[in-house]
Amino acid sequence: MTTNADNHGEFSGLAVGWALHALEPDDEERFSAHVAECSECRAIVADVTTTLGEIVYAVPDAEPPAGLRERVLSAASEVPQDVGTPPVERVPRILSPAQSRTQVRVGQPPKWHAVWRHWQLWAIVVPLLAVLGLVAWNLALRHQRDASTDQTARYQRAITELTEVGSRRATLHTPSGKQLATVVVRDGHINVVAMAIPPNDPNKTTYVLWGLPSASAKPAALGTFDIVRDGVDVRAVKVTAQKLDFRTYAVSRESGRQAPGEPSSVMASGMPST
Amino acid sequence: MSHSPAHDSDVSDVDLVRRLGDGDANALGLLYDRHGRSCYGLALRITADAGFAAEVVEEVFLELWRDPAAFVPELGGLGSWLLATTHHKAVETVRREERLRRHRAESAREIENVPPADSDSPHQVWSQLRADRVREALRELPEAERRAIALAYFGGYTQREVAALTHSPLGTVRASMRDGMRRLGELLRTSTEIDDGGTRS
Repeated sequence: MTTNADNHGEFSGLAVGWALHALEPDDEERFSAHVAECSECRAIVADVTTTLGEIVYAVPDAEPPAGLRERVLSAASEVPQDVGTPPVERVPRILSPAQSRTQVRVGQPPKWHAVWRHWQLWAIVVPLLAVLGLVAWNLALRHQRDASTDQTARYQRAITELTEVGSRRATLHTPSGKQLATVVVRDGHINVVAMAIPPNDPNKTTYVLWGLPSASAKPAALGTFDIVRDGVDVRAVKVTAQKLDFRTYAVSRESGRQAPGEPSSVMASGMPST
Repeated sequence: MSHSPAHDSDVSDVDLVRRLGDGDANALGLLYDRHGRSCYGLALRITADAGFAAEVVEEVFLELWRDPAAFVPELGGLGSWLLATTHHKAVETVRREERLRRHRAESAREIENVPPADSDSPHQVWSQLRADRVREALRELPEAERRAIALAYFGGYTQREVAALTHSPLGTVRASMRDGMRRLGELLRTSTEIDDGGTRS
């Protein structure tokens, strides 16, 4: 008979394998079911992921074969682009100390002390990862290998958003209690970590983020954003308001590309936790 | 849209990615010039096959071209994003291509003793210092832990495959990976703190 402690000892080993992308399918499925409920394992995954970001630098550069550059450019000329949301619409913040943990810019080494201080805070904020729907993500990873890298990148971006120090976050639920997204307000910008918001037609509709100073006050439109895919994704809100701190946030989907005077129908709402 | 080489040399990665969103293939070429060698180095290390490594790198840059918005600058550097993408694609490749299997253990061998690349630019010097620190930390790990991590990360082996390769119980392999990653993280944090208190401000 195994105890809970014995079981968790095994899961901590699986957590490292999960982060290393080194689990067999059955272990991956088992761990996925566990990690959604276990903050300790999520903390292990976060730590290992951080360390892996450093290990990769042990590998020296190598000269690619002649002609690869042309091959890439030639292939690109035949590959259609996903222009659903141009990157220029994204929040133009580049480097805060916490965000620079993996940033290597020419002639500008990262500030490691600040970087690691940030990561030490992971253990405090990592329970927020529960909102990410790890189970769905990881099962999709197994069955959609071609899409795995993109999913991983979006997942990691979502983790970063949900654990960034100094942010104000509000998890939005539908009236029936379903969790749709988390609003992250920081430094005058707003990102939406979407978890279950259906994609909209960016030519005909838009999502609008609203702020409510009190339960009875009229909502103020804070900005618009589009959802371009199902599942976890981080979307930058095109902020049009000056004041961003509210007691309650809400989201609606509207016809047209502009925010109306008031929401036609609120899909989900929530109050900030920090 | 045309861009002069002199101007392009000063353009940030972020701006080049923005230009990808405008369909600027010249920007893709510049990003390849900046990051192609590091991506290819990692892909070659994992696949141990020049042809597959080139395919991986091509897929990585085409992915960025196809969806430039997949990279969000405020959440990390483009170099890290490209290397993470390269790692995933390379691991998927070696698992898919049976004929690469026999090379995978070699790919993972003695990563801590890989000779450094030539360093002549400030960026390369910094990257070299970073690489040296990682290799030093890897060297300090017990052999079983280093081997398990290297086989998984650079060889693309699953935990069970590592157990079979090293003739070790699966539980031992998992414990080695867990303890090794924890130790490695501590070593890198320690060396970082020393660096911060010493040569870097």
